[in-house]
Amino acid sequence: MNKKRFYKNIAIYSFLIIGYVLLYVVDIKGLINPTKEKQPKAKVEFIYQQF
Amino acid sequence: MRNLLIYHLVPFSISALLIGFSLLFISCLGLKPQEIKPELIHVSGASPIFRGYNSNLTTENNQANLAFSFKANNLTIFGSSEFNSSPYCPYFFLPDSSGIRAFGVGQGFHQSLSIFAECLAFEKEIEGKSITLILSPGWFESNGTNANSFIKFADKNLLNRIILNSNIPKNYTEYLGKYIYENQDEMESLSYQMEFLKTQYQNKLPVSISSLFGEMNQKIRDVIPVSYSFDTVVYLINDTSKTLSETKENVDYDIIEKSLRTKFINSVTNNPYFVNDDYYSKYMKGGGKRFVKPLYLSNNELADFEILVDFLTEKNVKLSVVMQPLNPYFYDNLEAMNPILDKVNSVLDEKEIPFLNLFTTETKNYEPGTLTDIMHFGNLGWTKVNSFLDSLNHE
Repeated sequence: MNKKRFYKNIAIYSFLIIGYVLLYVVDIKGLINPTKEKQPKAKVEFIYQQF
Repeated sequence: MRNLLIYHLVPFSISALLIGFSLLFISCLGLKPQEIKPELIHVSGASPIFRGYNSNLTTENNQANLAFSFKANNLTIFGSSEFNSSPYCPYFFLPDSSGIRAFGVGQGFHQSLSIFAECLAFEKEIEGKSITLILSPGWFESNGTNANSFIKFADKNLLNRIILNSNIPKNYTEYLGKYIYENQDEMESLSYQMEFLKTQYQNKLPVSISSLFGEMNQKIRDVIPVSYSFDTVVYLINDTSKTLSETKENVDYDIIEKSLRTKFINSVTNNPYFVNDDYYSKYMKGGGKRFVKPLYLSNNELADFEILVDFLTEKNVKLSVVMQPLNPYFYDNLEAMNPILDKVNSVLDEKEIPFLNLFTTETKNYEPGTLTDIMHFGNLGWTKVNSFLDSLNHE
């Protein structure tokens, strides 16, 4: 068994999981600036038209 | 296969375990507050509003106006794009001519779900008050409130008040959470308040792979010390408005209606639809009639309307409802709307809620001038509404 490769992969997977947690689970922007209000935003903006 | 196990699966499992234990350790430190500690924001001041309307509740001043309207026992009217500055609109006409204090909230796309969120936010204040809903048949043509409008009308202050109010039954807050959950693909980002409501609903869902995954993500969020920051807003208002005269005039609505009808018909010169000339020139010229597609009873707008009515009746609100017509000279196949509108009628009938239904499928039953265009009340239509509300609210 190549130990170097084994430990390198542990480091890579740890890095990937931490990255996923920070980016997609806990919202890293909120961690950096917890007092900042999070603004909701829709993907499509409806503009009211008469017709 | 052996390489995959040794160099990928085992390192991945070790990494996941290491991170899991790290999170467990962080959770033991107790960095995350265990409960929401509301901070109070007081919005205070004198509110002179006893007549008029606000387009939305996205400012604290407008929210305070609505709080005042309930406190002052005004007739509060919720509607949408038909609201304008005409003196015949009930929030002007009734205070000016009948001595009934009235206040409106409405703008295009302000539909049942947004009104529901606003009423939930004022759960204590609406108890026993007078509320009128002005419905548009067009709401039921859409698949309920669109995400952009929900975000716009359900302001964070209102959502804070909903989240921090333990008197609101869970089924109502979960209904909002369900909407956010089902429409999250339409939203680029959610506020903390919306995340909270969504999660509350998600936790009720039966276990599936995606919900397990969502639950795992939520557990991780729970141990990270970035907390939701919820403030609750308290509206302190001094009533400095003039007391309206106790002497109430008797308005002869028949004479007003007759005069407005004649005036409107004489003013239409460039179209056969009984639509005001400007509107026709700007939006309709060169186009044909519009065909209404069949509507089905499994309609999000109908569900939103039903839960709104349930909540308001539960709060002993003196509720009345008005249904606007669509212009039958312009729309074809209006019968397609009947199943939905019959359902609206039966919901209100069952609860004995006064209902002014001006919708009609036939031109012979439609009075030109009721609408100024194809779907918005004109002065004649507003006068019919005023007559209806006057009879309900005149003591």
